[in-house]
Amino acid sequence: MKSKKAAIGKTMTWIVATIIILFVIILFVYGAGVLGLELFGGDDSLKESSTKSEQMLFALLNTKFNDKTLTEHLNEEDWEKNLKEIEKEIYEIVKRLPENSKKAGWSLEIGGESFGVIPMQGHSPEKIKEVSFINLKNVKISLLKVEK
Amino acid sequence: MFKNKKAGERILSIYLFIIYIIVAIGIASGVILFRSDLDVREIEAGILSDKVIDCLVEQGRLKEDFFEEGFDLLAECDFNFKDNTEKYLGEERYAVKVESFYFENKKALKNVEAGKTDLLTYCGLEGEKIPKCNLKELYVLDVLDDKILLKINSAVGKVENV
Repeated sequence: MKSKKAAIGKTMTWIVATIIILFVIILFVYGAGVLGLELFGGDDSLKESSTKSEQMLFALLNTKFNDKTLTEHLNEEDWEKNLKEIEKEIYEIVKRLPENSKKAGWSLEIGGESFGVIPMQGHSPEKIKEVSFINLKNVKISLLKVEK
Repeated sequence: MFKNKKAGERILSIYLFIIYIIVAIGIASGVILFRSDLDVREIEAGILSDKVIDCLVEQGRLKEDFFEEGFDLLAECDFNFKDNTEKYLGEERYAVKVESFYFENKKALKNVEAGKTDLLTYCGLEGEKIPKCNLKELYVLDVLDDKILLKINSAVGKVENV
């Protein structure tokens, strides 16, 4: 066991490499956990598909207000005036849509106007749980489920 | 100059094994710490409810057939709730209940059930080894433009797999 100087050098290199590898592994495992929570974690119970919102939007567009469907009202040139006349009735229906609760509510957006129990202004995209939209001749209509 | 290298290689190999062990512990701890239970039955029930919606509702309108006498949800929607494997021999492992009400006064219209309806009694209950449910409620119209509230409750059994 004479002349171990060269062996000591290599050994020390491996000791340092071991410590670095250990540190990197711990960092990656922790990072994977944090990334996983960021991308997939949180409360998934409110994230749903939009099949339901799609069909509800179609139903709202075919609902009659003053003997004309909402689509017919909005396809006219003076659609904004029409909207003013029926906005109270629209609001009454949206307010009573199923699954409106203290946690989340439906909002119907027609042009820039929003009908719903939760004001839309200033809502961040993460708060929107379901969404469907359609472009008519004059205006875009969206049905959104928004978390408070 | 190049004498006595045997001792050096023996010392090196110990550290190589130590590194292998550290890497293995790192991988194992990552799997153990961050694994999650993979019970997807609630999601499966949600997908089943979506399929029922796709089947019964077109362009926001509930199909007229729904209100007919003898309406068979399984035949109409081409569902097969039976598990034909050797273990279950055709036993049904899913259930669906569709309820319709008038939107204005919540008066009940028609209810349709399909599959192993016993599973639906567990809906709303908490627990691990019990069927999982998903409830979806939506606003639709019927062919006469009446406003309808539709409730679709789906349940998935498969408690043995949990």
